[in-house]
Amino acid sequence: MTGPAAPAADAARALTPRGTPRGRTRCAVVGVGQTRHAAARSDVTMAGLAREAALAALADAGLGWDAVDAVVLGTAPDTIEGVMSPELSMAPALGAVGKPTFRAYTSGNAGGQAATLGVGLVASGRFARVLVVAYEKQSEGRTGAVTLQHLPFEAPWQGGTGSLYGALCSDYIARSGAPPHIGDVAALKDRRNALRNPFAQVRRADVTLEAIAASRMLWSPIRLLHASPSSDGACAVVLAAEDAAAGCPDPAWVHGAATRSEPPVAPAHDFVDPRCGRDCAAAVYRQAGITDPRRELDVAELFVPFSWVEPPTLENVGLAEPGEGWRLVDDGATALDGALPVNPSGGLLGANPIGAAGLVRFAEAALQVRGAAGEHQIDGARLAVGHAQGGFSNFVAMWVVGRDKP
Amino acid sequence: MTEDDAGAIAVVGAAHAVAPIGDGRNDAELLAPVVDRALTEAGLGRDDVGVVCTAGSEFLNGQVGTVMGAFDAFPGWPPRTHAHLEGDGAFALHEAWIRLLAGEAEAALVCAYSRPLADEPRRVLDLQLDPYVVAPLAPRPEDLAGLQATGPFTASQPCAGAAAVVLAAAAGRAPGRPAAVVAGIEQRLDTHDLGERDLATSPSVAAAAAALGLPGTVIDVLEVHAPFSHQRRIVVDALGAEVRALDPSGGCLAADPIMVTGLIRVVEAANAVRRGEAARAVAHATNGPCLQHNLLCLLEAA
Amino acid sequence: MNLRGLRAPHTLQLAFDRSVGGATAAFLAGLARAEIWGGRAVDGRIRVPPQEGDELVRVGDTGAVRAWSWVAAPAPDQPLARPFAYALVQLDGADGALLHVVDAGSEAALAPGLRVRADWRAERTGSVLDIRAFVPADAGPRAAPADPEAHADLEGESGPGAQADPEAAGAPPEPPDGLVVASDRVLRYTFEPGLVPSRFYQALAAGRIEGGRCPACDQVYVPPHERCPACGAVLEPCAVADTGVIESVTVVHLPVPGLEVELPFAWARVRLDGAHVSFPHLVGDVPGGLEEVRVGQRVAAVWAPAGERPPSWEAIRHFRPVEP
Repeated sequence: MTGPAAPAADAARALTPRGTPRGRTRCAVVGVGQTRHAAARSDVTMAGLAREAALAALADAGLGWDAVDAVVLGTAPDTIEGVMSPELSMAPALGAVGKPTFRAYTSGNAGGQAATLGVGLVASGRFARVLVVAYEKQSEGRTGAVTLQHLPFEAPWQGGTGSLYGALCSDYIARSGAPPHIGDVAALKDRRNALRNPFAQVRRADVTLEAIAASRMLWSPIRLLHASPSSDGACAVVLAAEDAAAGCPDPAWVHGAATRSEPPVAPAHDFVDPRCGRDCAAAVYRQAGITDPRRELDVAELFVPFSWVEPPTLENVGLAEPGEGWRLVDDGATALDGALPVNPSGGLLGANPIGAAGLVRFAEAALQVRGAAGEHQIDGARLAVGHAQGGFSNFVAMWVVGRDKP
Repeated sequence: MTEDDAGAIAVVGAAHAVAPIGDGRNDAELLAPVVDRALTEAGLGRDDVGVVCTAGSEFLNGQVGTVMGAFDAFPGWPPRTHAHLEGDGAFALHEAWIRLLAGEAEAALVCAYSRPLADEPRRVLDLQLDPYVVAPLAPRPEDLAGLQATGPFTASQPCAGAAAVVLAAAAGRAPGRPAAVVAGIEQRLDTHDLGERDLATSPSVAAAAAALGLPGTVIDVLEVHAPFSHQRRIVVDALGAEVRALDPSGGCLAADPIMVTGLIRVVEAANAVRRGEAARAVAHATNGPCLQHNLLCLLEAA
Repeated sequence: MNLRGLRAPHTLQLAFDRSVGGATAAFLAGLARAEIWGGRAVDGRIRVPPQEGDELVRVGDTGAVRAWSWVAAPAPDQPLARPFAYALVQLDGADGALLHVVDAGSEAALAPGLRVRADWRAERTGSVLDIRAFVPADAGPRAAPADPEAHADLEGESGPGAQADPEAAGAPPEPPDGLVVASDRVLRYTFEPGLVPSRFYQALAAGRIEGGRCPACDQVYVPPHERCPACGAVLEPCAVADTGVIESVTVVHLPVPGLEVELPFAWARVRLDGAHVSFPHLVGDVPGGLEEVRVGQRVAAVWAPAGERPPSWEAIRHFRPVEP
């Protein structure tokens, strides 16, 4: 069941986990891969798309399929592609035949959830190398999004993600007094960053602040050019226990990983500043020994599906003081050359393959601390945070990765 | 508790309920009393649970993101580690166990709910088939199971249901509660390509059993998740163990709450150990056509 | 058994044009040419269909039945109208078997090892259904395939392995652009919202808003739940006013499926007086225009006329601004 790293110990554990000491085995990100993201990846099957990312991650790690002890697949909801338990029909394409295979499902958070489960599998001491894959192929529906087919007795306006985010952003503006141009500034930053990312779907060099501000209003205050695209894409990472990571060329180390959720209907559920996000951030910073995240972290990849979401997310995960997130954006502190660059990859405004988008954030954080992010590399990045969220702001996952061993 | 048990995770509460399809209750209303019972048995409160792993299927009742509605039934506030999967609750149990082994918390709640409101409940499982070269042929789960059978077989009866299991490490247990130690959980996935499999055998069950050290040993109670009657023998044969009591609960043919049934096998096996009826019990769970994805959970007396 | 709950028909339309690539595309493109291509896996075995990463290998369109499952009463969406078998067919030259259908007339005609051949459709599109069925190998003459050139190298083939040599089989097929697998499924349900939601919806139809009060937290939920999502206590029904305050609002400029309302419209989360949670609804009757709707605005329900109130939030047409 576990990898070839320590067969004798593994066999003993399999027989008598009763005596196994619990605790966390150090975990490294030894491989990262993603597909070219596009509005429609009509050149591949769903399995082919996920495999493309997996192969890239394995190649990056210098490992073959045989080295993988367990597979985690993240995507959600299943209704987007009309396939139930996709790990079943993808088994050979993901090298999962004969292996333990896990599934993560929490909408936009699925990719992040998958990564934290992967870390858990390694930390449990029972798996030496874990392949985490997340994908979304949302271009193929012929009659509109299945996810928008509303239930009997529910009103048709109840489910829309755009409305929810529009209201969330207007609430943020009402609370913080953020001026109207903040959404434009944040969008321009991510769109310019995406130009440096060869995997991004949206790479428009001609976009200006004026064009963003004049673009069509969708859900006030969210305009067309504030919004992420609809994307097909996949991402994968290979995680390894400390011993198994020894032979891999360029690991990033997981300093903290956590996922938190909360009921979307509890009175205390704050759509703008959900406690699950604050708690998740506190947990990963504590694990990583970070006391001043804004200064100690070199770069952040955050789940920002609409540019206006960046300021409240900065505050929610402790990277800005309450009410001050928009000022960091306005001052350029989150730009590529700012004090804390946020989404140097272009983030979700570059591509938003929903189920994979969270894992892309985690993967980009790992690339940064490895110095492997190419044109959007932040010089000298040694500690980075990846963040994913989903549902009605009620699922959050994060990890902190570092160049150095924790 | 022995020295050996210090690092062990145990089932300290386990409950389930089945219901007729269409009794009017929703997922949360089905699940909540079952969660209450499992926690009460464990002597734990909602705040003692640090990890929650849930399972269900949005295709069974046509509701996208069923977990959003199920939140009423399990401890979710204040926020905690929570994972949801589309599949059988036994696979959520595996994740919860792993997260406890990784030291993420001292106690975990696993729960699953099933409310098959589709006109043809089992046919929803067609959506698990390869969408490119198998689904266009439109085989029903029964048709595929028939490829595996050597004679007539019986199909299970889908119903609604819910199950909950409380797992706890030594530090997370209330004193004096009967416990079934999770001596191991193993799961393996076979290929979806039925033509590549010898359907009369189950390599994934055999591999999981070998990893648990089951071949050649004696199992007091075995609970098998076999939605079709002939699949039970395939699972038993692949275990390679001597089984003293097979499906003493009565098995899953009469009542099969799809996506909960596997977790119910864990409930039944754990409770056999907790009641002192078995020193060593194994629960089996499956997902996918013709027993494609299989999980074994080995439970032992504390 | 359903004594109190609402129920209503519900459908999920699953309509997809699934793109293909790699091994799957090659397999389907081969079928369009009346050729069957498998894949040599890393362990040397030849499987049909091929999987991603396999080396493509041509196999025969004849083979032997390994296992079958008889369908005595085919459903309308199944490939054949008369009784048939789903079968695992081990094609000549392959190690694994292909799942397909066998049209043998009766179950008695089936036997392990029965020799069968593909009965190709005249018009083929690159679908697994380009093979109408496998038929017993001695069943009548072969129909002439539509593309004789593509079929030429199959004439006279007989024994196992006849087409397993890729060099003899020609180049693997190139999938045509835009090849997709169309998938249409309508899932039909009898949906039930649950017992407590049913009571809530029925109250709306009667012109009342019913909340649920948590006896432990003293919080009021609208809509109500059976249990308190925060603490798990059973909620107690309570009446709630139809006036409240806007917690957050957006002006929507895109159409919402199923919602017949003029664009743009205001979508707000409304917290009713006495309640502690908000719910999404529409805001209308705004004298100064939708941009005037703001967080903190007091609103009141505008009910549909009695007799036109469905058991749904739609019993309230929208909320309108009122003076504080």
